[in-house]
Amino acid sequence: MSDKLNILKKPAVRDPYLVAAWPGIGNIGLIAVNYLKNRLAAEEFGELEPWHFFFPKGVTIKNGVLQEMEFPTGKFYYKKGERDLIIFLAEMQPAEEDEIFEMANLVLDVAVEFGCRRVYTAGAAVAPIHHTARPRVWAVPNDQALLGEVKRHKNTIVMSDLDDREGRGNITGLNGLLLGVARKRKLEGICFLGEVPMYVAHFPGPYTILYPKASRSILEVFSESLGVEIDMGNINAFANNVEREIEGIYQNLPPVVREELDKLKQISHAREAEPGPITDEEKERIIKEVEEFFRRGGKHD
Amino acid sequence: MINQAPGTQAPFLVVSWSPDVAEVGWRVSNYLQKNLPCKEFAEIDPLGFFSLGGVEVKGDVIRFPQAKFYSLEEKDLLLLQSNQPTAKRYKFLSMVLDAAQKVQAAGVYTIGGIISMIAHTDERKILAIVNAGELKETLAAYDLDMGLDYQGTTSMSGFLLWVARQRNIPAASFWVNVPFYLAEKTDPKANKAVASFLNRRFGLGVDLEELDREIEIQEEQLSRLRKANQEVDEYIARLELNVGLTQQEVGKLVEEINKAMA
Repeated sequence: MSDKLNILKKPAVRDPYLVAAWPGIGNIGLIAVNYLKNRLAAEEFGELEPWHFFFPKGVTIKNGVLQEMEFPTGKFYYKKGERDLIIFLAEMQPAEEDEIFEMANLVLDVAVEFGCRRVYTAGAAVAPIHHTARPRVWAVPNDQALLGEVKRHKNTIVMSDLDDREGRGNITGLNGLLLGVARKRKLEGICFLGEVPMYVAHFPGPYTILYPKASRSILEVFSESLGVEIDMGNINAFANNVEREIEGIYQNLPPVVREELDKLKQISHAREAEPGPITDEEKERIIKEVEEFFRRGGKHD
Repeated sequence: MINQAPGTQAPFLVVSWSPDVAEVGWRVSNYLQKNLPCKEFAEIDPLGFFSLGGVEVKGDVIRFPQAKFYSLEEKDLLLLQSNQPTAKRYKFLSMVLDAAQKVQAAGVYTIGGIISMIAHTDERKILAIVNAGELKETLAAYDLDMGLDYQGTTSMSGFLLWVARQRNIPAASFWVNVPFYLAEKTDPKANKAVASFLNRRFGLGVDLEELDREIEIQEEQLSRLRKANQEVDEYIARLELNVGLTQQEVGKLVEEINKAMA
């Protein structure tokens, strides 16, 4: 294997699935997969040598002598079970396209080395939904043959279920690229994208909010597709706290914006495409008004 | 990459970057090249390391990223004057060290500035960081601050020191303090401090008179500004007394200096 990989031990896994995640919008995928790793007590067995891809994030100097250099990590874990798993978690995505491509191949090199034939990634889908709704999971396979399987999972939709998309879309960064490269290497791949309300995704810093409800939806689908039991206690508590926080902000939005956003409650969780309750123009206007609201310090006139 | 191997023996490679605080490293490197018989002997192709979607225009002139090596054979000294790469930094630094190892360099130094809450009238001190404890002995004879404890973000020089340590190449970085209000300008006093250190360390025998003149001109300019602007005078006087400024005062002083020294 590449000298950019540091494999500490060879786990005795059989026909494992790879589940990979990295930071993205609201860290939806990263939170879900990190939670999965922690709940399953998956064990670390290797890492990418991060200096090939990333600038150091910190340094320690003692008495004028360089001690440590800290880099964003990219680590591999494994868990044996009914379905053995390899989990890859990265703290960053590389900046350059060729580096993203190289990293995707390195991650797949490890997966293939240990007999993996299927890859999952997870991320966020910014959608016109209300924060009180249960986020759906957009399931995007890298092969037509997997469509039937992903459609059978509860609370999932495929691209063609969405208005006006005709089954088309883009998945940016490693979430998409890893599965593209997997397809090229004849590996099965499925991306799960948890829905994030469009106005929550546009909360600017310092109001930026994680959206664990979407991560929880992904975990529910993972539980089904990977055949693993996941204790949802902690993520439920996290999701409830965040929901209260969002509700607090929501109630402070100008009434006219809130009325517009309330229309999103009409979106049901049905699989079939439904007429959108708000138009694209209205979406744009709402996002602008939400951003303006935060520019005024989170207060309305 | 190496056009012609320099006739040096166990040379030291001195690296300077741009951008840098008051462009100290770059300016010192320019000064050495101007006053010593330095010869360009190698360069790193910018493709892959810099954004090449266009070119920067600065001071009415087109700029292009460069990473050029120069040799001063009689003093066994090499200079690398380089823009800071914006991509594939590890690969870039590896290429720098490949070149250093190819010419059997004895060590690598980096030079640069560090923003400090000092007045321009204060003495410039040089902070040294090494990538191996034993290097401190070789630097003990120079007036350097070598006792830094620090945890936080790093720089291209810090990264270079770490990569050099992976290859067992002795490396040190030297940071001269620059008054914060000169960080975007030039600080000839800082340039002179670094040039003096290199002069002593490598027995260069460079005449620093030109830097002295630059210091005089800048001090006169700032002195006139202090007389004309009471606020500026008060802020600088407080820095001279080692009394801090508020964030607002810092901003105001930078603004006034930038306006006066445009």
